Amino acid sequence: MKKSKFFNRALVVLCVIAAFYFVGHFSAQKKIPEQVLPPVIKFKVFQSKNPPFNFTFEYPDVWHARERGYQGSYDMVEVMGAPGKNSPLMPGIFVTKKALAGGGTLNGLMDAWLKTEGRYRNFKVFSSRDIEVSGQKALETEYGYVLSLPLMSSKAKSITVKKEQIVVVKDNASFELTFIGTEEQFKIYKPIFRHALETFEFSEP
Amino acid sequence: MSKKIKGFTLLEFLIVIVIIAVLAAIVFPRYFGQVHRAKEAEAVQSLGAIRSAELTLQGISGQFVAAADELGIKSFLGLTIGGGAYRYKVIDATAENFLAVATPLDLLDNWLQEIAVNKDGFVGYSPAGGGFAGGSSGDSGGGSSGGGSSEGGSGSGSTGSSGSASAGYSTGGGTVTTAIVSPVATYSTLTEATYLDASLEAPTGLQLTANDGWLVLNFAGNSNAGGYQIYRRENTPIPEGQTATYENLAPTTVWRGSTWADGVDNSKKYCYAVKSLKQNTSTGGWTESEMSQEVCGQAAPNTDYENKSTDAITTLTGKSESFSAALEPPVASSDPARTPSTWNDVVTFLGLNNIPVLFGNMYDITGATGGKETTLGEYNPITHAIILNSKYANAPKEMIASVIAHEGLHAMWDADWDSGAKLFGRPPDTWVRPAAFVDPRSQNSTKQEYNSFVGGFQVWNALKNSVPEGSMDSTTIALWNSWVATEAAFFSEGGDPVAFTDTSVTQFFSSLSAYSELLDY
Repeated sequence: MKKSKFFNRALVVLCVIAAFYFVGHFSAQKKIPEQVLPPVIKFKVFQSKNPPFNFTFEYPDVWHARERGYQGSYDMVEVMGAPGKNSPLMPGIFVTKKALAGGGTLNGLMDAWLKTEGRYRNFKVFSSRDIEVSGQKALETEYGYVLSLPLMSSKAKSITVKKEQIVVVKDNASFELTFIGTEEQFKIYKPIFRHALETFEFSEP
Repeated sequence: MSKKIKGFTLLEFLIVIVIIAVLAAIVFPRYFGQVHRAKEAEAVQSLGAIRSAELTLQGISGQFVAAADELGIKSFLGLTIGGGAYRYKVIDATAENFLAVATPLDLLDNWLQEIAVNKDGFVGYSPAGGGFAGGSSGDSGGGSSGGGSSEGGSGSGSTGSSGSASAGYSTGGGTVTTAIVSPVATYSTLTEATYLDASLEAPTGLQLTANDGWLVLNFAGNSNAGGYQIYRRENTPIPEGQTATYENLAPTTVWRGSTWADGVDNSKKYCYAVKSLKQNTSTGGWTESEMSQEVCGQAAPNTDYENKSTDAITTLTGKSESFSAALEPPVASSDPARTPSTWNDVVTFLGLNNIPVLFGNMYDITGATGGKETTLGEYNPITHAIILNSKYANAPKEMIASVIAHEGLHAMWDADWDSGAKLFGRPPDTWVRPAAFVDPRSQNSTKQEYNSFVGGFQVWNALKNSVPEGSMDSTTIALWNSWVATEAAFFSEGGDPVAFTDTSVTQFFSSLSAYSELLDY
């Protein structure tokens, strides 16, 4: 009986110490600030008179946008950032439009793309999820691989490339939105891509 | 009747005291350590967020920003931080770097220390088990062409030991000069007058390499320049009181490379000088530097170079091996006049168009990774010549043949573009494709680069096993090894470009910093 009383008291003491410890510990934890776009960044809207590019989105006004036409194969808009002094790769956003062959599904389109990209060294898919782009169902996959850059140079180094690929279907055409960068660029410029996605809209025909 | 004992006995009391003491000895340091680490983690995470935001901002605007406190950080960087154990500010912000500092709020709290981070990572602090690595910096600035070199020297060029490359070729056409190794040199059209900018440095270290009927000029570029203009004069005595009069070899062109091939008379001596050009980013106008120091020389046959290029060309001549079906027009075109379905077709094209294969001394250039890189070769689309880096003149003929195939394919694409240009005129840099434009096979330079890249590699893939063992010097062995690594990444064992599809190719080459100046035609 005595023993039991003693251990009860000891337990109370231990509980008080533990409570003190955990309350103190968790109250000291702070929220991680979310990575958001610096407000001083100016954006401009991509819009084109070229009929294939029936969409708009916002991108930093100092990034360089270029339209590419491939006569039936695909059309592409690329928006590239400045090349880094120490990076052989530029961060950039691509929007590729292709005719939808055979009523392709989002999964089918994504699988076909990843099969191609999967040939790069150390290819790895990090995540995949359903999202919405301009009110349309879309599929998003984040992946990476390793390249030896610069090409053919005796000074080439292994560079980890990360990409985020989004496929969406609209009016019998597929739209593929790709964000590319080195690991560092990917982390730094991802908010730019998120902003482009959030502002991406299909124009009315 | 038993006697009730109330309260603790002395023994119980002592045991509790001992337990508490033991627990305190174990837990308290851990507790305060945890609190300490948690508070530090707040600072580490907040500073990491500030660094990411600053790098994003600098990569986009070219400038880091300062912020006096948390309010400034919220205003400029869009981050809500603070309210914990630290106060935050960003100081010393320039275009190159910044310093974000987390200072403990309670100055008497000697558990905490000031923590700082700049663009490269933490300064004098190693986050315990977390945070992020310092590592490389974010991106900044724009690309530049040319390339610096610490090497000095100039060339003479007059004496030459022997012969040129394959004589008997003539003009081709062209648009884009490319080096098989980055960066790619291109040129753009200059439509307006340039103005002197005395602060812009002229190129240095001009050197000439003599070939039969050609002089190859190379110089150390200026990393601040957007391009160059090349000047030449005959090396005749300058009358007293007068200054040298030069001819601008391409007055409407901003040449972005640091090598130039000039077809000249072997019997005359020539002097060359170069100006740096720089474009004003806001007005679009161009300024120019003073003239560089000149270099003089004389073209002459070079038997050694001639034998080496002839051996390499012979390796391709008469060979019916074809390029991959994955290649695109003009490589896969049905037009026999411009289509290299076989290796021999490339040689035939060069011969029919009198495009010589020259050798030139070339400085290493500053590449995208900041280190020195070597150009293997270039095709000059204005003077229509292939120039190989003399550093690799002793490479096996099979490797030289691969580079010639690469540059020869560029020459064919350029000629193809010229055909389109005859119909529509050479496009300005801001060229907008006319609706009636017939798809030019050289429209896309990234594709041109890709096709040349693949074609050259296929030649090397097929010939590499013919290279005799022990025939390479250390310079060539380093190059060989890099080719092996590149081949493994991009080609199957049979030499097919398995890693590419149309879209993937475009994205890949578009995102290479070294090709960022390729024009879209």
